[in-house]
Amino acid sequence: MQSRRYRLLAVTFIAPSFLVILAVVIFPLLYSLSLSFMHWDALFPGRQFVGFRNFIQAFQDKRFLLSFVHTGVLLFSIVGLEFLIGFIIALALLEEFYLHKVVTALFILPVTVIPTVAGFMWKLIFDAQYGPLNHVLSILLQRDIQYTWLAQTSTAYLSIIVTDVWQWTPFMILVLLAGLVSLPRDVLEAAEMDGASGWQKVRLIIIPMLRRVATVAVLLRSLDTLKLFDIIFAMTQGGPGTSTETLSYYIYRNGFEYFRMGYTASLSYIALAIVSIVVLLLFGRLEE
Amino acid sequence: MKGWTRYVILGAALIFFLFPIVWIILTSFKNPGEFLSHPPKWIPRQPNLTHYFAVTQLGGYKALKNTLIVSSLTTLISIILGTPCAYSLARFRVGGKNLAFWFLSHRMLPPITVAFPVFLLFRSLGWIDTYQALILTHLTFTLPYVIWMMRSFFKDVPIEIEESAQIDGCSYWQIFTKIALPLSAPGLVATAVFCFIFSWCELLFGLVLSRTEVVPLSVQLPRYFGQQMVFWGEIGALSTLSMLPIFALTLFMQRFLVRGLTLGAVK
Repeated sequence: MQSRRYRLLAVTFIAPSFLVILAVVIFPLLYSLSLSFMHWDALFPGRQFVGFRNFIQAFQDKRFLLSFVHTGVLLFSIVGLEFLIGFIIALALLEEFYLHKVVTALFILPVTVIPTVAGFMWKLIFDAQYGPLNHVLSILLQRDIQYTWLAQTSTAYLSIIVTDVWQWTPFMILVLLAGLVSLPRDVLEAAEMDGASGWQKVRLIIIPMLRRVATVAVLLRSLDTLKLFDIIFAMTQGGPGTSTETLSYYIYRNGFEYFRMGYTASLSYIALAIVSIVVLLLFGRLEE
Repeated sequence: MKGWTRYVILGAALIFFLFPIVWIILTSFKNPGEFLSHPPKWIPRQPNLTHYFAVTQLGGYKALKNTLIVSSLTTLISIILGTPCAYSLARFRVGGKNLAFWFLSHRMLPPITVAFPVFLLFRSLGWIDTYQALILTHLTFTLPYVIWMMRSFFKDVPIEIEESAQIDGCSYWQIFTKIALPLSAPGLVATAVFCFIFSWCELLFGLVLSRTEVVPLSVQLPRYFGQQMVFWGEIGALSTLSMLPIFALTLFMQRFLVRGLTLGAVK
């Protein structure tokens, strides 16, 4: 009797959420799966089953393959820089000082800014004529600089990287700081007694002991960067040309600018497969 | 790290992380002649609210209202549906850890993989440019988040308390509402705030599913970026308005920030 009510309650608690996910995620994904085997181009009427042709086409699509390269370049530079800068600042924040709490709170702010807004903030800073960056460079270099940062591929990358680093390094700072604070004090003190230098402490004690926290932080950031869309949309729209098109942005364009329905569906399944790899790595490290 | 290197690093970092926010706020108070000047004027000479009024005419307040409606309802629904589900996963152990991971995995999907088929389906339902379209799609990432986070907060409640309540004759429903929920209230509030922020910041679903009526902030802002002219003053004003409520909310739950952002992996 008791166990039946117990089971009934357990299932009633879960059912609504389960049904919502089924309706708004699983069902659309299955629909998308069926589309991925179809040729359906909204500009021409009719759809037709074509088997794996969309997937084969994807791996011959130069722009799609390049969007991987772009995403990869951004992923490694963004996550690498965020980790490095975040780690240094977390170390600087480790010991208490005057206004410690206020300073730490100020570092949080960028994380909570709408990514589109973050993109526009930096777009304004990088602006050729009206931006403060060129102004400062003009003063430093003693000549008028009107450099269009977003119009050249290399500096467009730099601008995107700076924007993402601005927004998400604070996340690394907070997470690594939480990890650092929980390190056992006595180990560090013992190392100090034995005459370990600052760098030795970092390399031989802090980094190994921080490994789990750091891995989770890096995986979470990698997962987000793999899906990078918002700041590309706000800053470069994939340009100049198609040189900053990320995976998500290229898929978006296929679906909502070129209206290649079947092809978009198959591209998004390829993206899903790649993201799943990182998700599985992350799951192994979440809790317990 | 000690001595002056530390303060130099922190000082430089603070300038880097705060400057863009300060700059966009300053821009919102400048006259067009000041932000459209080369070289730029750094400090507005006659700070004024022109752009804050102008942005009302240009759909800014509607966007603010839409975002507020969508984020609040998304948060509310996620909490109502997700909290019992989380409790069931944590205490009744339905489906074990795998079901919990199954729920969480939807939070990690690339939004475009869902946005595209959902757009086609909602179009045939005539749901483009409606609140329910935005709220339902926002649930795809907030609901799994609530389930996962609340499961972890419920697990923090000592099971002995719940067991002794059971011995005292409390029903499972009473244990859930009278013991588990109040004891994990701070976590619940923090989780709700996170949902609100995630929904507030979302771009892609809004971009794809709104046209004129339910346009959220993240989609309205790029519209001030015209081919001929950029309305930097309006962008500044609306950006400022979009940041302030979130800054205030964040300060309230600083304690849970790391746990919330790392999906409970770092406490």
